[in-house]
Amino acid sequence: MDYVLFVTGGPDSALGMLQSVMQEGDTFSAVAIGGEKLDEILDTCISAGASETYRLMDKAFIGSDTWALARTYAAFAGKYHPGAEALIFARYSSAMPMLAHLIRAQQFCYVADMERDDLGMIVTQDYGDDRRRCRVPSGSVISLKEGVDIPFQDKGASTSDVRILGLEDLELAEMSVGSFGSRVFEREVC
Amino acid sequence: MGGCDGCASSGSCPSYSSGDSCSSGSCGGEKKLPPGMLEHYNTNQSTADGTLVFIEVSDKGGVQKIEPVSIQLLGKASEMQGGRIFGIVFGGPERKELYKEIFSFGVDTLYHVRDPRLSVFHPEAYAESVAAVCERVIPATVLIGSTPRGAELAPRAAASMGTGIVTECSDLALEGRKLSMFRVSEGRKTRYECITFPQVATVKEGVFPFPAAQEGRGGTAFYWQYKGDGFKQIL
Repeated sequence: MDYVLFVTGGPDSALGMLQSVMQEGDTFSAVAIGGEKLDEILDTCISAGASETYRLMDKAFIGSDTWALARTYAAFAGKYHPGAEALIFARYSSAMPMLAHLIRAQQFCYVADMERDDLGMIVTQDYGDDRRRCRVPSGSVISLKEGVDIPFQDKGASTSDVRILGLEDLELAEMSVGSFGSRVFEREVC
Repeated sequence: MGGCDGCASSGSCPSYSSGDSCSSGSCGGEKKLPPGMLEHYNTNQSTADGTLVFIEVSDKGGVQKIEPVSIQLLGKASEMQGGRIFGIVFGGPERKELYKEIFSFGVDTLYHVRDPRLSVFHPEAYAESVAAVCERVIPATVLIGSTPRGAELAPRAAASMGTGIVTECSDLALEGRKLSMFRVSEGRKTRYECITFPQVATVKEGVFPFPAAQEGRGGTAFYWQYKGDGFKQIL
């Protein structure tokens, strides 16, 4: 099985969570959107066993609101990992439920625990006033609850270059991303 | 034909085809519409109007209770005076007990997505239903409380409608149908606008005051049937 980790903050707990459910033969890829300073975080993912790392970067992405960002993520997921078992966000972002809608997947927010049985993955969602366990269909989008602390095992660095993907690689039109593709705009600082 | 010759209606005017003269005189007798007519009937203008508020209900110990932030948003919607206030609530028949309270806080028309399975939060089903109700009522604004469930629902609902969202707003202001959404980040207060309708915003509890209930105030409730399959398999 293949997993995708969207790095939207410190990935440590997400890496730990992923390692706890991955089985022999499973792989995971890590993807971040932004500049070179994210390469250090992607290196951490490589040391935890990421088979591939991507960084989405293009001038055209500048000015994206969550809608345009979600479309960028959806284009990446659809082209590079269409059959991923789960797409995991290290930290909740408004783009996560939007991505789930765009790829017609279920979403699971505030995940405090992940496990696997013979039928597939099960997550525990923690809403604060209620916890529930749900079965996760293949292709679902998951984000972790803030404050979950699961250390990951460093499997030793392996050489894996970060693939930089831009607008053309994702086969996106310029009008779909950045300020052209956004719906919300910053008007003034008060 | 009395002035209909050369009319821009291209013979589609019933007065012309019946052989009668154009009684209103609006044909003008020239190959163009009266001045300003296209501007007046701007068919590209959105008809979005009013505010839809997600009424979140919690069930604790068998007692159902409206989340305070939903009531605070109803108060803000009333204060902004942006047209009709719509509410959407999910759950089984037991939600009828809350109608009086919901109407007392300013809802004019309530859409009750009536399904016992939806007493439990299923974000996919909730988002589909919000989008479907918005397609019916065409609100200019959708307000959702930034509770854990609201924060999970709002972006998916916005995406379902192809519109944008501003989360955790610190203030809202309405001018006509245009909503200004304010957010404080790193000590900076910024004003945002969404260029599409509906404009979706989430607000945390406590940002707006608790409004006074208008006892005896009534409203209209519609049952809405959810026909989709956006249910989670909860173990």
